[in-house]
Amino acid sequence: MLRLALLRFASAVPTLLLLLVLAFFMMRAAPGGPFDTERSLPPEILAKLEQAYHLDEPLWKQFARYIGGAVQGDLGPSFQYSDFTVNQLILQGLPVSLRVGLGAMVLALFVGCAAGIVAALRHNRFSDYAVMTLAMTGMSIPVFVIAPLLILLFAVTLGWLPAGGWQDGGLRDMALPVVALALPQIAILARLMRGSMIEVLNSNYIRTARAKGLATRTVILRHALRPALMPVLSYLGPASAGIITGSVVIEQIFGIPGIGRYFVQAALNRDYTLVMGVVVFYGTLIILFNFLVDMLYGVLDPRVRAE
Amino acid sequence: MTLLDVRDLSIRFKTPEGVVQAVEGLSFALAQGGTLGIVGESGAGKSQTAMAVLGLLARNAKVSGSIRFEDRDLLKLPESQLSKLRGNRIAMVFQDPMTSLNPYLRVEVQLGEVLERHRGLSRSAARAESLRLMQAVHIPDAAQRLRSYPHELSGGQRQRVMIAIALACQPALLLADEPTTALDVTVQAQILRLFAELKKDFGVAMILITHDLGVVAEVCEHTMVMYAGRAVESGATQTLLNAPAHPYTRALLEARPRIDTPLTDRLLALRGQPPNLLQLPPGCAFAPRCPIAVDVCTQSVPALRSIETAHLAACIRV
Repeated sequence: MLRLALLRFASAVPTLLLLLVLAFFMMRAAPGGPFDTERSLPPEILAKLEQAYHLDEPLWKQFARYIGGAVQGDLGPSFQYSDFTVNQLILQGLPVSLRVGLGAMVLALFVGCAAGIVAALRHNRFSDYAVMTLAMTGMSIPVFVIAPLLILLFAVTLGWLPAGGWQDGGLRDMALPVVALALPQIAILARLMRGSMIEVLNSNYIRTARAKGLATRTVILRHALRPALMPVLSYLGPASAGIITGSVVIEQIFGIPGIGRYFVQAALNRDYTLVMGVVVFYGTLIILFNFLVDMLYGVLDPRVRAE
Repeated sequence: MTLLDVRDLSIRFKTPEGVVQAVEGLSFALAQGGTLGIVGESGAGKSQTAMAVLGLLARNAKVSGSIRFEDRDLLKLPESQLSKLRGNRIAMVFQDPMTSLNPYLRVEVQLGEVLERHRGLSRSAARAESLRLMQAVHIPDAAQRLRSYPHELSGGQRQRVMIAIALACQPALLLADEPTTALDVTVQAQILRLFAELKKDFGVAMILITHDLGVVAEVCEHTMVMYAGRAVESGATQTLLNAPAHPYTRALLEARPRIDTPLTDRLLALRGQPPNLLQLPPGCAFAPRCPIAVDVCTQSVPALRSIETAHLAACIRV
């Protein structure tokens, strides 16, 4: 178990490094720069600025400088928000993004798994078809279509919830973005859960559990649930990635002051360090999440634990 | 006294390809403490018969006939009543001990839950009783093994655990579906010895489903041979093995490799294929493979009839 943990941890380093390289050079390959404005700056000022931010150095040197800082946890100064460091900006947006992201994750897990279990237990009957049809729809509609539709229905037509903004970060503010973010994940999780539950219910050990005369509740909860959750568990890594990328769009649509919104602005402004900072931060988060999932696998499956 | 009385049992499955006739017009009885071996090829309907007794047939199954157990018709009992019999008065041991235990739960949980459910034991009482049961099926280091997960046990040990679970509530009837097929030959012999021993100690009646006539010879007083969902021959095991009447039983016996006759180049096999249960041949289902079949055989299904005392066969040619 410890060996597995160390191994997984070590393999995360090259992944993160590759991510850094790609993000850094892709960003620099994009046309324009952080100080391009409608009216171009006088060349001497531009030169001074570029010198101050080390943009006049060769690219490899800039990269080395960036890595050197990042390793020590310093993601550099923001080019656009001149009084802030990237660390400060990310920490500022983090609580908001975390609320929305975790909210969506928890909602997706509960609703998705519950729907999947119901569909599996009612296999080939009405509830099964209903859940699967909804799930298929949920998977096919992108987040940027679902979000405006939700706003149209609940904010504009019914007037129940705000169309956007972040007053106090309470439930009213969170409801629509969280639902919009969770819907595609609910759909995927429901399908996944249904499939694995049906498979488990057909397994020999469930036949044994039934032959023991256990109550259906016991058969499902004690014998079938945990094995059926394993594929769902391994999807949590990709799910977290999906929710993070989705949050970038959702925060923009709903005007939520989270990390994702900074990211979109930064990409448009060529705020090199801020873009890199968000990529590094979210990349680390996804890697960390996948790592946790792997560890959880070991905790839940006695056979993995033994290896 | 009769413990189990199966009358005219038919099981059909509705599938997209058509109706599968798994069991047709099957009747047999089992006395208290008796042992019956059910023999036949894959698809003969042996396992489905056992599943029908447990009330665990797939949802697309249509069952008719009657299964009387301790004076109640199991086919008419509601699920709530049936689940109280399962694992309690009627227990089952399955073929593949590798996959029949839940890999995620410790042995003590899988054994203890039957005791808690049917005998109303507390968790601690169930633990003590589990230990006793583990010892009764001769699992070494029983206390330690209770804390194990199935993957930490050998195949033979897992089957012993399955048997301990089945015996936990001192059932009147034990259904064992190919209980030794997935095991090594030496382990097979041990498990069979265990069955014989448990039969003596617990007085449990047993239905042993197998395709191995050797197993039947060792454990069962009575034997029923099934072919394509029907009983084709039944009687005392000794009679059946020494003087088989039905050509299918005879073919099965001839197909066994023997140690006392010189080895020929190849193993003897039954010619032809088991019939397609979606579309059974007319008349006797065995006729297309039968060495002594005549034209009449394909005209009507031969009834099971008595050829001597307590020896029945369904063949017009004997």
